[in-house]
Amino acid sequence: MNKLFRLFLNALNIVLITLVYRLVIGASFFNDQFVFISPYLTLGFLITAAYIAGSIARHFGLPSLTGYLLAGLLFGPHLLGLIPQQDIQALELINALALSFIAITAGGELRLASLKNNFRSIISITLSHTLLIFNGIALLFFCVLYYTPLLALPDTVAVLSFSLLLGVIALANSPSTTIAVITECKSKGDFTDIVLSVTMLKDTIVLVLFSVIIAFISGMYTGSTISLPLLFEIMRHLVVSVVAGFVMGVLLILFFKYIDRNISIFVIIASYLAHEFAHVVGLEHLLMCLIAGFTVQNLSRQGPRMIEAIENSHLPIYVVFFSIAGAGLNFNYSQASVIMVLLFVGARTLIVFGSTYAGAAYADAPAKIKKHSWTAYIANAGLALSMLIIIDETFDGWGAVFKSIMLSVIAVNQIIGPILFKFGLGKTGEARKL
Amino acid sequence: MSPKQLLILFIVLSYTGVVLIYRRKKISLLGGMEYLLVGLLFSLVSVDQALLKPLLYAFIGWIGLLTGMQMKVEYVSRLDRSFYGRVFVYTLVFFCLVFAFLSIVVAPVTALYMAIGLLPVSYLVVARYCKENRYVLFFASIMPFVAVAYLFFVTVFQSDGYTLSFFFLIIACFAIIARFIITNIDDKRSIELILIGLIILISESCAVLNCSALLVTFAVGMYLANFCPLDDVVFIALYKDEKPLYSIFLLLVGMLAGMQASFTFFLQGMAVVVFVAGLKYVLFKIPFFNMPPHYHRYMQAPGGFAVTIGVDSWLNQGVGLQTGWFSLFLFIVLMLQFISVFISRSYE
Repeated sequence: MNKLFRLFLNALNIVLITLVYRLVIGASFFNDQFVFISPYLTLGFLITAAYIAGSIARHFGLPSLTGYLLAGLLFGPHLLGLIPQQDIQALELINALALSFIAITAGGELRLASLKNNFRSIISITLSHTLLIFNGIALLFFCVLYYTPLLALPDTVAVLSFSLLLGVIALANSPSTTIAVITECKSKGDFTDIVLSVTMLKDTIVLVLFSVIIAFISGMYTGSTISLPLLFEIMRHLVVSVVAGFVMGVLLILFFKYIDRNISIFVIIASYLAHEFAHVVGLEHLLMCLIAGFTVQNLSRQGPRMIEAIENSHLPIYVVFFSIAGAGLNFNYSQASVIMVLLFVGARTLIVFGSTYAGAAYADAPAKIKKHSWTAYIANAGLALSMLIIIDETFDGWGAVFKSIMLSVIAVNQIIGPILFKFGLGKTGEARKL
Repeated sequence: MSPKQLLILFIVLSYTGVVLIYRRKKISLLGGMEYLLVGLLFSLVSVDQALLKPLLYAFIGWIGLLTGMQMKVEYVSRLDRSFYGRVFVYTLVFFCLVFAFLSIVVAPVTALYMAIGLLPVSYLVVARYCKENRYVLFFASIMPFVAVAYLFFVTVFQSDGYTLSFFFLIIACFAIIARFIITNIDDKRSIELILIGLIILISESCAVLNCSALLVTFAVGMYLANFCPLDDVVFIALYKDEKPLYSIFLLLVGMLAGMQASFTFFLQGMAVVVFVAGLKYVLFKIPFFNMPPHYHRYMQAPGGFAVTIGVDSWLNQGVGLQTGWFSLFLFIVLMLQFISVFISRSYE
């Protein structure tokens, strides 16, 4: 079939589905009785519309997840308003499940042999990112906010706090986006392994750094200082999460080895249980699931079976997760916000490019790592979104402003990030399906 | 226990239970209906029903689509007229007599839906014990379609103009859209995803418009079976996890419906059971239906599709079954299922 005609059919499908969905919602008001509209109706609409949007995105050579995100953004509460905010909140179970599932996938994609081979590059890029991105963004925005009346923050402490937190957010990546693009492109090789390892390692650093920065800022407001027990507590938290992840991995191995039935369903259930367990006990569930996936892949022969099971069931999870994520994105159109967003996205992209090149060059990494691996580190969501919620709740004065601006930043990064990464993967030749 | 945890527990139970119930040499005593019983036990657990009840629509949608997909005109037209004549007479006599009897116990509308619900026959039980008799197998497999046809006529006569117009509109819209989307997907492996989306969308739309999700999805399935080039791919995707999904459905139904523990309830239920079992016993003695007389014992079990019809009627509140009567209906189904399997096993 002609490509253009197929594109037209897909667009028509979206229009038809949207019309029917609107008709159903509208028809409920004609009825005299109160009609309860369940969030599952939204879920059905979102899955169908996002899937078709993903197909349209592929027609333009973009990753499917850009289509899912854009569908969520378009139909979400902030643009067309077809999907109510309360429905997005009601579907949080799927979000929680998807995040754990994605983390297990990421862990499963990390191979010890490859990590050993690329150890120098991974450490070098991670360190250069941590030093240059965090310090670069924090310093740049401290100068901008201190010397210009852009956001009119009340005092120097607020400016310093704002800048430091911007630095931490800039360092964060989106492992879910990275893994989704890698899975879609069926990418394998050194480039893929390095990118994935750096992304995961950086997110662990971000977790620690964020806790330290929050403690530091709180200390500035209350007059106390960061204590050794606090750092010890953060480290203990991470170590326990790693141990819990290892135990979970061993349980997964035992299941694959001795029961070996309905593996896809089991991995999904295990993802959910891990999330619930981590939530109840207070562990880092992403780190835990990552270690679990890593354990299965590297300490047993069950890795390929797990990856196969994941590949069989990843599509519904990705579609729902990214379309819901898209619906949660928001753009702040105020002048100050637009300037901040453009400045942040531009500066971060430049520093990411520079620091990746510097780190890769220091480690004598191949040219493809130096030239193209920066494309993987543009997207930032997931962890960044969680941090925004904490910042908004912790800092009454400027937390809301920070959240509002950074939501726009994340929206922009989430849209351009996957596109750039798919482009980067294409250039390296590691993508088997583009 | 939160609805999320309960749902996960149900999924685990259904996938592990399938091995115990369906993969044994002997069919289990309730012929797959154990899940309904377990679900009824779960009704003792306090849980927010409003969060879980909408899920039933999606299950009904899946079963409706799966059943509709089996209604291929090409295959159905191969059976001769005398077969259909016998099916028609049998179902009509059975339906009218059961309806008349139930009308003594319950309100006529409730009796109508319960009588339709008792029409199907458990294919699992029939296929286990009568696999050598193709006529009986065809007879049992045609019953869900006949029940759906009865349900359709009852729904059309029961509904007001507003509901009816939306009912036909929604069938037409979704049938065309579903075919359109399915035939145009780029990657055939993603068919399951698009089916999940469509089933949820269609069945939840029915919930909003107060239409029968079973009838709408059955009609859409029928349309796809006969007019969609990818009908086989769709059917395989729908059929793949049939048993675990049915089990989760039964667990949910049992838990949400609950059961009354009163002597009147028990007496009413047993009276209907005795009547239905006796009626089938008598009907199978009539030579016109062309079936071995002792086969009545295999045909007593109404099976999972009976529960599906009951749930569909229960969900359409106002025109269907009320919760109390729905519990009674489930009790009758369970008892008939038990009687059928128990007698069949003792003659084995």
